[in-house]
Amino acid sequence: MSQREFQNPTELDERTRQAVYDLFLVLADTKHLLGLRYGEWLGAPAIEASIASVAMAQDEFGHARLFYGLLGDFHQAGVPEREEKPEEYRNFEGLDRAWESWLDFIAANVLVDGALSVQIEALRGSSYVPVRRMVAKIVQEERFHQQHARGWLLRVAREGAKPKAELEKALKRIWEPVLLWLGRPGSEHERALVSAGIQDTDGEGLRTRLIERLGPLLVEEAGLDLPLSNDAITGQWVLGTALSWEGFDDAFRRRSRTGPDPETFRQIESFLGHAYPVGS
Amino acid sequence: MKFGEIYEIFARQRRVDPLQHIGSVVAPNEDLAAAYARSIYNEEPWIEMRVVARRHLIPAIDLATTRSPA
Repeated sequence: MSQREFQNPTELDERTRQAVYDLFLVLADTKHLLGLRYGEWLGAPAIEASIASVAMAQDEFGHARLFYGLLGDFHQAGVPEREEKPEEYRNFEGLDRAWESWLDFIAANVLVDGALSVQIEALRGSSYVPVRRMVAKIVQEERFHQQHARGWLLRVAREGAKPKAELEKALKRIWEPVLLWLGRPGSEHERALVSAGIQDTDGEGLRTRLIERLGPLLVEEAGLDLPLSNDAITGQWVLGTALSWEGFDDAFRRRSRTGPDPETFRQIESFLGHAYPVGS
Repeated sequence: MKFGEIYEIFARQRRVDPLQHIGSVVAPNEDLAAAYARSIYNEEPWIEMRVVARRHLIPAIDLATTRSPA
């Protein structure tokens, strides 16, 4: 791994600059959309859960703003600004439309927020100094999100066979896209990010970290039936099924370029320019 | 209780302060008690916050055996 430090995108070679820009935009858009989805659940099952949802939404919007804030230097260094249209958005594909139930909320809280945490933690010792500075605060706030996710997951999983089966379905709907989201093995993006020391491991390494966290919680504690098992010999958690990478776009970290649905895009248009409107 | 049990919340703002009782929350498990406490009682800049199930507080003087002051 490179020992160099980078203060500005102009110090990165062109291939790495584009890979870092793509990563930051994926993180910004995904956190932006996750914040929007969390914020839609003011009618959560209990008043305490509503307050916690909005608090998490507030965190996600704050994190999105931090990542959007990093992009300006890249535009100055010659990376073109993206066009503000849905198909250019790089949010995780499971956030394109509003969640149908509280179980979708819990599934995303566990899997999407969990994958985001793993990705961002891999930037803790990043050679790109501006991102390294903001990681600690994000990681600390994410711990509270994981506590919330874990609490709800275990509550529903222990409520009875029917809620547990429904929760399993909600998790399975986004299971593969979440695992893909961490990055395709051997892609040019991966190689650029790791060789320049931007992040400390590749997508395969991130996936291993995620499933090492999820296995004990989902399978052992919650007793959920997901394609994940503990290898009796190595003691490591392994995926039970191969991932299908067909159509996966390394720059967008998703399999389709459809972006948020029209209703969602209308809501996020106020975020254009990546600044919060302060009244008219 | 339908939504869980009562958890007491303790917090402090400075290292020199003792943990003080700041309120309570009802939650179905410890993780949600901590998550709810953190989001509901976030008005002050706490440096530490802890929750404990009320049933885990060991009675030293029990309300049931205490005589009311005259």
